[in-house]
Amino acid sequence: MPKLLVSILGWESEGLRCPDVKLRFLQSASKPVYPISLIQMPNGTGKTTTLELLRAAMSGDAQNWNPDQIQQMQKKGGKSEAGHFALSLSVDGKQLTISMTFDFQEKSVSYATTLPSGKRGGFAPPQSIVRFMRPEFVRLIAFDGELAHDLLDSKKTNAQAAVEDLYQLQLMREMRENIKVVYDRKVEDVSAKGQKGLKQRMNRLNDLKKRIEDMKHARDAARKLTEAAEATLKAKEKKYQATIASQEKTRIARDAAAGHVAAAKSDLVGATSDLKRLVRILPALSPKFAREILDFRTNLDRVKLPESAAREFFEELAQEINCVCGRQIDAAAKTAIIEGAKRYMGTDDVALLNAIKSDISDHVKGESDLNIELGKARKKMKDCLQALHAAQTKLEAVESQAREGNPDLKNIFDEITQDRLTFVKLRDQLLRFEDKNDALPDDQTWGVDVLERRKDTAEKKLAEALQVQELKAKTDLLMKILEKAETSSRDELCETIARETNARISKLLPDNDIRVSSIRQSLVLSGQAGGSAGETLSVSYAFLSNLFDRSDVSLPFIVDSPANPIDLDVRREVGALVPLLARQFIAFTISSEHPDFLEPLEKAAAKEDKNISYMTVFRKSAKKMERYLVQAKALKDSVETTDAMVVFNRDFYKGFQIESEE
Amino acid sequence: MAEIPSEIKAAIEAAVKEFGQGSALAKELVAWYSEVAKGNEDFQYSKVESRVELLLAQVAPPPQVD
Repeated sequence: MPKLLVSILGWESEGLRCPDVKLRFLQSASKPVYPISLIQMPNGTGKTTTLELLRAAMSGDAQNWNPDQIQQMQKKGGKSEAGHFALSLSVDGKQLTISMTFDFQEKSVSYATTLPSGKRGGFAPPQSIVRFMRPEFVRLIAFDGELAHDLLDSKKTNAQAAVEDLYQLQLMREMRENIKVVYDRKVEDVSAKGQKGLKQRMNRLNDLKKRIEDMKHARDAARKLTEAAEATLKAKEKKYQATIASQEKTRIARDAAAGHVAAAKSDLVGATSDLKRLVRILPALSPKFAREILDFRTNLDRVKLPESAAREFFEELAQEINCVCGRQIDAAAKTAIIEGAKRYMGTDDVALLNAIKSDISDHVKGESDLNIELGKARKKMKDCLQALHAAQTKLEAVESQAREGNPDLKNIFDEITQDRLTFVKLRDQLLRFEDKNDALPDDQTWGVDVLERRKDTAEKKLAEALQVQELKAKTDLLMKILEKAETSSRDELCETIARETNARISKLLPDNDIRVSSIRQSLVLSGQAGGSAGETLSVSYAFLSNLFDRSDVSLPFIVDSPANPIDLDVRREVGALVPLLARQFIAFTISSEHPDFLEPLEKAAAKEDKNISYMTVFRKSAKKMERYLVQAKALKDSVETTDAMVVFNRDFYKGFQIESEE
Repeated sequence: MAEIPSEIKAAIEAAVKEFGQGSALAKELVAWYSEVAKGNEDFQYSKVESRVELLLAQVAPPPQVD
């Protein structure tokens, strides 16, 4: 995949401290930008301001300027109320324009970004290059001698951050952050995230299992005891009955009394059933309700509901050719019949009303009838209860008399009484194990089913916690791997770039031992804290050019005074290096930089088959520019603006000499 | 990014190995990093979740110390 190409197509400024100019770097409509553009601007022309504006346009930093900084951009003399700066870029073949509009009355500045899709307010570069369009990074690509020193000063710059930005090492940090987001979402419903929660869940499950086992053992034991007690009781009752049966007179009396008890029970069942039936009939329970339901039926009759004719009758009639009266049913009559049918009820409604009236007739006999019937049923049930009680008392009397005459029988009876108590007690204890109460703590809960359900829930929660624990372990491992990879990547890249930087330094300064030992906050030199201006510049060029060379994005490189102030022999090396520094190199120069810089640069450019654009920009008002103004006006490749001349000519560029800069 | 720099790929592979994991995990990490670095993929939650599922499937959890 080829590199993403970013080029500066040109810029224009108006109403600002720097001259009003419009510079373009395209070789022609079909050719790309000039690989090398030299912009000669004598001191005081506005080089520094232009560079500041370029940085602001590429980083959006002017949004953070205070009113004084904004005011500083106003054209000298304070006459312009507004200013404008627009930078045109090409990003992968698509045009991008970032413009800044200054309001010097309001002391404000606003951005606008124009993409192929249209213009929008604000600083909004495309996603593909946004990571470079930050003040810290833009300082590296719009470079001045001050930065050359700053790259070696850990308090001023962060060379390592430049490496991280260029190679997107922050992506590993973002991957870690996003992995954590996924983990947090997966476990947000689980309360037991830590080791403590897991242990608690394991302990609860184990305790529940033990409790269930204990309850089951206890239940089995209780069941055995209950069954044994029941068997003993039944055996004794059988013996008791057999003993009574063996005495004929007693047997006869007892059988007769038992028969009365059975009959009384049967009567009671019947009476209960009748009462239940009557209680279900609301009119029987409530005289008021009975009255009102009868009134309702009466009213239905009064208003003659339901009608004898249903809606369907009329709807079917409308489909006939002739009416029931014999007349023909034309279209108008048909419509009238269908409309009129809506006033009648449907067949289902008629059937419902008839059923209601019928039920009322059948079941609601009248207030007094139902009430009397209910009263009779209540009395009958009461009588049956009394009869049953009397029969039971009589039976008990017969048996009691039999026991009085038979000590063995009395003993069996006493034992039965005792055994029955024991059996009931055991049965009640057994019932505990079927208790449905789920409100008590585990150690006070006897219901086996309840405990089993709790155990199932505890098992699920433990599984959940175990899953979470495994997920946490895996997530932690991924985070550590990425963290380690990020650190290693940074170290490796910095080491490689340092090594390659040193290779370039050795070409620039073959007789100099200066070398980069490592890249941390700043470039760290081997065995020395700093160097001369030339050394510093050479080291910085070598570092930056290496950095950009390895990147996946080809960025332009703008330099203010690339060869000043360095020794002549270093200038030669720098001049020869320039064509190799970047795909697009733009330099602001002054005339005193020409010796030993321009010629090597041109030679090296020719070798690389790279064309150079020569521009000279100077203020028309400057007295020392008079002769150049005359020369420039005579040239066809010059442009005159309100306050400046721009000359696109090599000979003019080379012949332009300002004494004060020599 | 044309291809991710060899230093980054090597660093990921080395880190994976250092933590006792297999090459399949390194491959998944490199793939994810590459796609995001190229701008082909962003950190939208659904995409991240899919990536994380793939990664977790490749991670062998460390032995638990009770």
